[in-house]
Amino acid sequence: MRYRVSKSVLRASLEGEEVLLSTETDQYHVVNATGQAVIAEFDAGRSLEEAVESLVADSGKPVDRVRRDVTEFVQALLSRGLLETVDQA
Amino acid sequence: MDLQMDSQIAPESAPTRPATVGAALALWSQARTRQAAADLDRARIPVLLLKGPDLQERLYGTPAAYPSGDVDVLVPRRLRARAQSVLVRAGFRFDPSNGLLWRMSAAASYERKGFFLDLHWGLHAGHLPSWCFRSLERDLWANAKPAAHGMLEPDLESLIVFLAVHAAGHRFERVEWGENVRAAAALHPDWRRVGKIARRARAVGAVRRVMRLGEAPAREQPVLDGAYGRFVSVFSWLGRGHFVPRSLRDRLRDPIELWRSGFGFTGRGGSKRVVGGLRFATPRGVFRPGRLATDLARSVLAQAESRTAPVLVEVGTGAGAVALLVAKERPDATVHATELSVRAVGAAKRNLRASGLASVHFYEGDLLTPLPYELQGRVDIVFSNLPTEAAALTGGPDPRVPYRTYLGRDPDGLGLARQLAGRARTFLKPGGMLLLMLEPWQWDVILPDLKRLGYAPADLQSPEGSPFVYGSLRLLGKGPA
Repeated sequence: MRYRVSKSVLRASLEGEEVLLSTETDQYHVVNATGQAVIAEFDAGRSLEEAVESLVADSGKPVDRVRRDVTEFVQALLSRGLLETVDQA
Repeated sequence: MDLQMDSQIAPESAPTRPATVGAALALWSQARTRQAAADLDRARIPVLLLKGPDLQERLYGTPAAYPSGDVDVLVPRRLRARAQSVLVRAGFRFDPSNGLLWRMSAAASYERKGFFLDLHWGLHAGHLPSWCFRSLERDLWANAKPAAHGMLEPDLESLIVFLAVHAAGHRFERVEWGENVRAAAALHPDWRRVGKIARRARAVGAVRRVMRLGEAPAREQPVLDGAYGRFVSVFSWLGRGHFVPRSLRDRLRDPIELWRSGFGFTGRGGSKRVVGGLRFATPRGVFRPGRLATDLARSVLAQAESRTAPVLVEVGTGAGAVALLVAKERPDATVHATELSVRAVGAAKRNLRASGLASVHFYEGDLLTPLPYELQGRVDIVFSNLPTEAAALTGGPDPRVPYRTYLGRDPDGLGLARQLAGRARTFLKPGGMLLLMLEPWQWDVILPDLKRLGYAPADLQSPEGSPFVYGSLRLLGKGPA
């Protein structure tokens, strides 16, 4: 599955974190460096599975754990309207 | 894996990184700019972006490259009235600080819940009227393209000339304005086209000055080139009545603008109260002294304790309460206090006469501008209770705040504090102190800026029950501007 940051979201990237503002809810969100890396993978057009592979390669953490954490993170972003699936658009 | 997401930024819940708050505030401003542009677009009014977070994103790759409350958009001249009416219908309020000459500048400010939008239907720079910049205006429109943010944006070459004219026209007041030109120059413009546009706009000198100097020139130079530039500069200076002293212009304008804000022409019907053993009369349209005044006076006195015959400066004195309370407790001190509102200065002077104190001097004007030259490098403490309301977090300025006392436009509310800290370095003696009162989270945001200016935090205290932290900073050296 491929995702991208929703069009209604404004972003400011900082060193070590990213601030996202949903213009639909007027709510700010801050993601840490790892979350920023996940979003960067989606920005580059990579799928969830490709993002997991890349994070496993960078972090050396077990693939199952990374997949679980990334999936939960993606669900959290989706539920807040910050992310959308590419084929939905 | 450490994957974290916070669902909101609550500045009061420490620790929040200053950069994070800055980024959130920039996004707040960016969202409101786009909302206003969409309102105008629905009325089929093309909107060209001149300044704001979206320009920062174009030049620096982030909308939060530097803190700024400046958002400027250009609409076609013929659609000016329609654009103004669309903004008013969308809940924007014509900002009374537009003064009397906004038509000559072809621009007006509008405010909605603390967000300020400068609507232009022509260009101006400093006191030069918009007809001087017709050629540049045509160039900006001619090659503008729709951008991802939904507004039009000018081509890089016209943008460089506009930004240079803007920086020069405002006498390089903010370092970032010069930086903007150089950031745009780094995006590989066609310099031959820049030259052509600058020649048509008679702004070759302005572009060269910004690119070469990177800072304010030693003396004021006309914005536009040659004899024409000098003629226009003198003509508009005279036309705008700049030969009339500023204090007189303010004296004429102040009652009208206060009246427009609902505080009456004369200020009669104000209040009288005793604070710290002194009697203060405050007309309508001027803040009444209270707990904040006594807390600030106490902080100043504590900082001045070890200094003999200190020279103290208060900025934004209002009815003069803090200055007079400090002078009463420290008869050996000399207190100089500035205030922008003519009405407030009048009240402060009356309160001074009633107090019988002799060592306090009140001046009318902006921040430190009206202080005598002789005070430069001689001041022990500069202190202030500046307006620092963060519009992005409070939903806009308190409507009860008298006009001409709320002037901070930066979404984090710290624009005036930053300006004061920069200018205070000229007046403070080495080891002199700057004393500000801010909300706790604002200290996290502003401290890095103050350190860059050469200040070191000396003492941060919050009196019991106060929402503010009173912070004093020692000027160590004069860091880069």
